Amino acid sequence: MTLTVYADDQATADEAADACEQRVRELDELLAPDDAGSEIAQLNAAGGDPFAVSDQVRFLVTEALGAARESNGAFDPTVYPLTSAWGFTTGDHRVPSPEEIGELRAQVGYQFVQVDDAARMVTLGHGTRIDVGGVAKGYAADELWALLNERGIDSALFDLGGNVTALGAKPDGSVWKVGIADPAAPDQLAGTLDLVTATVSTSGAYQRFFDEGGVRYHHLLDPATGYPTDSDLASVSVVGGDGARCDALSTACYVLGREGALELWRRAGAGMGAGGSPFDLVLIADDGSVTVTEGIADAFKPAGAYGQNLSVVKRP
Amino acid sequence: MTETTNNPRRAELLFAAVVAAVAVGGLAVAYALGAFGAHAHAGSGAYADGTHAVAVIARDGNVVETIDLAAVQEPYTFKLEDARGSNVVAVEPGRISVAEADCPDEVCVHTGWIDSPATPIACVPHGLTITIEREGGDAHGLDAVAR
Repeated sequence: MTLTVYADDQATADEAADACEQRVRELDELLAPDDAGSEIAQLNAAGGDPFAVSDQVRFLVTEALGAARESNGAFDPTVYPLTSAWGFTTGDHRVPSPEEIGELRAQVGYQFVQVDDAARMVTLGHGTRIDVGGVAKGYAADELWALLNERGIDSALFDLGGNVTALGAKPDGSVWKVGIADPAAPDQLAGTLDLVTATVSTSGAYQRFFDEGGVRYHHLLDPATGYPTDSDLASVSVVGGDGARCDALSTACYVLGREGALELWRRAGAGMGAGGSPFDLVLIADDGSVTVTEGIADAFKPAGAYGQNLSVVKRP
Repeated sequence: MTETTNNPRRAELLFAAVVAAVAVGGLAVAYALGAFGAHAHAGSGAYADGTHAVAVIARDGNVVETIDLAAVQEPYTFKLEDARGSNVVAVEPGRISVAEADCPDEVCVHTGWIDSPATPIACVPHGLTITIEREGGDAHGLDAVAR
């Protein structure tokens, strides 16, 4: 995590940065599904009974379910038992047997999760277990943004594990320059984005994977099959104002593939998205082509060979 | 390469920002915390992404000196003077500071050592700024990378 805060004096900057660091620690404790004491772990252990959760966890579950509905389950927070079986939550990677995957798939389905706002309860039906990690980094960015706003700070940049959020512009009024990792060589860049007041969230198979028996298995599982998604995309970057939503939709778009991702983008722009707010996309395909949606066409500058195979998609 | 033409303008913009902040009673401050060790690599000046730290010293927004901090072997100091006064700059592998100055407030001295683009040094009375830029690699001029 890297946090850069510009303030009028050192004391304000220090206090704001301390508050942000503390907030990230709290969220970490609240949300880690593998930490038995976390609220999410307790919810998962509740065995299908209605479970009282904090407002924050309820909000996160609601955000995750919204993205799941909007993407028709391409992003699904209940895929957690499968992610866990593949070892992507702990790093103890293994290839589960087809039988095991079949059994665990029966426990996957965001529609089995019920949120009761009046009673402040969440119920996990049908044996589902949930992980809000898919929206957590983006949500953390939204929370830090609010913390800084309260303090009158209007220029900051956070890098929360590769999710980058810009608050305002730089103090001199210029844009933030944010690189997008090259999925074929992640220590290099596929391009840069000029950013003011937005979050960029990137998902790609290169982020977490393991090789076994000559096959590469990555962490972006298709909830419909339980196996790593066979996407035509190498990475997806979602740019928008709602960090949690960007976070979830980057996963969804990767799973949906290029055409599905663009369809999701068109629906959100036309006000037909279940969650609403429009977003923009940088789609880097396996064949090295780059597709950028019109809202960030001018802000995106491709690097190297990516400049030769770049197309801009406009709304109908 | 566009670096030589970019540096003066960027330094000037930064200086303007610092002056504006001073006028309202403070100094523009960047605060970075590297919980995952992503930010500063103190003592080397070289970054994991193949870039390295270059100190850019500017007077009234015009670059007077650039120092590749990754190439510094032994610590040294030198003096910068003009009609307004003098600043003694200290350089070590990977970092730079103003060790002494005859300006009234010595804000430049109190800033201490800097080793990343997050913190600039400014001596407003002498029109002097020292900033760190990342050069080389593919990350030149970047604020962050989405990965």
